[in-house]
Amino acid sequence: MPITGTKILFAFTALFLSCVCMGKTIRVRPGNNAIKSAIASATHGDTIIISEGTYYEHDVHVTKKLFIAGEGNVVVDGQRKSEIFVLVANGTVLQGLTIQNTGISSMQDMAAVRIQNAQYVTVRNNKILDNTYGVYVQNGSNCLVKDNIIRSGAVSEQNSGNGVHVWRGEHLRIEGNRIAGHRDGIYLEFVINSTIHRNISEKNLRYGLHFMFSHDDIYSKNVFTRNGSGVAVMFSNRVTMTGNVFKNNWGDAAYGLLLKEITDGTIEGNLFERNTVGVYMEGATRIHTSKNTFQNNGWAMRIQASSSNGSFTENNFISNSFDVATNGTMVMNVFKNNYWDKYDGYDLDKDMIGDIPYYPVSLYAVVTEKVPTAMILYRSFLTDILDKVEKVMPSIIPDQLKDDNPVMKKLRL
Amino acid sequence: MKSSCIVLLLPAIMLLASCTRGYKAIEYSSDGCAHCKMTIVDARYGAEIVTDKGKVYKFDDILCLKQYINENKMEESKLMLFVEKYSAAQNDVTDAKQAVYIRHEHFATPMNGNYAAFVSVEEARPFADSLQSDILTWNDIQ
Repeated sequence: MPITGTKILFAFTALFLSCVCMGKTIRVRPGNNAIKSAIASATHGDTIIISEGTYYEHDVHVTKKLFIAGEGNVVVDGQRKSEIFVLVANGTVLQGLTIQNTGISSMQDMAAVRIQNAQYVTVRNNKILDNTYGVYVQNGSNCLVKDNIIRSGAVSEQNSGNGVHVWRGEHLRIEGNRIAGHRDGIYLEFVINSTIHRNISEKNLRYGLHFMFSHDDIYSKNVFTRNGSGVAVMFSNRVTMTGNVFKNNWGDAAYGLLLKEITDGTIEGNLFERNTVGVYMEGATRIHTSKNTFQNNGWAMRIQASSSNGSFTENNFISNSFDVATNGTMVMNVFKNNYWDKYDGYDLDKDMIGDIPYYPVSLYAVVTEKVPTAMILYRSFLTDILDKVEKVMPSIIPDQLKDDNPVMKKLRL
Repeated sequence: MKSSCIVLLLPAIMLLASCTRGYKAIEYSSDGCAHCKMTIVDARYGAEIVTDKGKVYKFDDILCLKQYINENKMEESKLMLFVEKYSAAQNDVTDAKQAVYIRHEHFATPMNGNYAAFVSVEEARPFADSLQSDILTWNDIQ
């Protein structure tokens, strides 16, 4: 009998608690400062449902934990005046809205959605259009930015900001977003232990994804196409890059992947296709590059002599104008078991591994590294002769840089 | 006669014009920084070196320019140095050695040099006051 008593008491308590926790639901209809006044009247844990319509509001500060969702086609328009949403409470959710037209200022970074000093904030399924900055995380942790469409039309705008911009963050997840037309698609500065997964970042002015001073992060299965450059990883340690596509990053200072001053990274299972330079490395230490495909690039890889202790194994190099270019000897790096379509050696013992080494740096790659303008003579009769002579009597190319075990057949990756 | 003169003169004038040593406009979001390799996008912090031979190096951050000079041991007296004016349109530059600078985190420049350039102390004063920082000269940058 006392047991059932406790049970009943427990049931009532649970019921009571669930009522309290669910909070009330506030419905918002278009009107003057409708969203702001709904937030003002809400209490911690409430739900705000915004009905279909256009709302002209800016500087909407969400200072308590709320679940804010749009129903139907909800447009929140900042009329180019200022920032739009500023989320400062832990656990806030913002979803299903179209948020557009922040102000433009050279003194302040204007964002459509700013997460400021908060944790466990979710921003998902929004359309974030024509803003200076899309989602701006300023000192956030455990936040989720998911399945948003972030697009800016101002393609040549100098003051344009980044699609997703993070300044100080940890344990963030940025997933499934489509980002286009910003300065950098995703920009991370001082961000640790975070994942960037399945985003599509294209046609951004500078980089699809940009790491600065960010450590222990993973980006995987993203697509970076037609950006100024695909991805830049700079001054960062232990960044893992797997299964991404770097495509059509074409132009004078364009790279698929730009690495500068980074240590202990992994580059695995990526596709580099039709980039001016697939991977550019400068000051990169202990980077392990394996199981990638480099196809139809100008240079598959340009590696500066300041890079050391890297390994390049089991990659496919197909139809690149130059496989590897370097300004030094790169003796500190290991090349092994790669497939090179330019390899013309033989395999007499039929073990599927070439019997003579492959030298991935061609003569002309060395020449153009020193005198870039010599490129106008590339594929001329003269350079063909030079290449042939160099093959017979190697004298200019770094002879230490070689793949001793080039595989005969394209690797299945 | 007259027209043939012009035809002959035109290439000569063009050749002369192309040889003038001086500031070459930075093409934003296309040119890359000679030091950090990033694409130059922010017109407030662009900078440029023109060497005595007329070779042009472009930078996305004033600190990048300074570091490039130091690392390559270039002789500063032989170089023409240009920096973008912070509060002017793009490719509106001034002599870097004559300019004054403010360093503040607020600027968040591409490479975290955080220097902004101004033509005069008078122009820099309101910024220095509101950011509560000092006005620096070229030799202070490092």
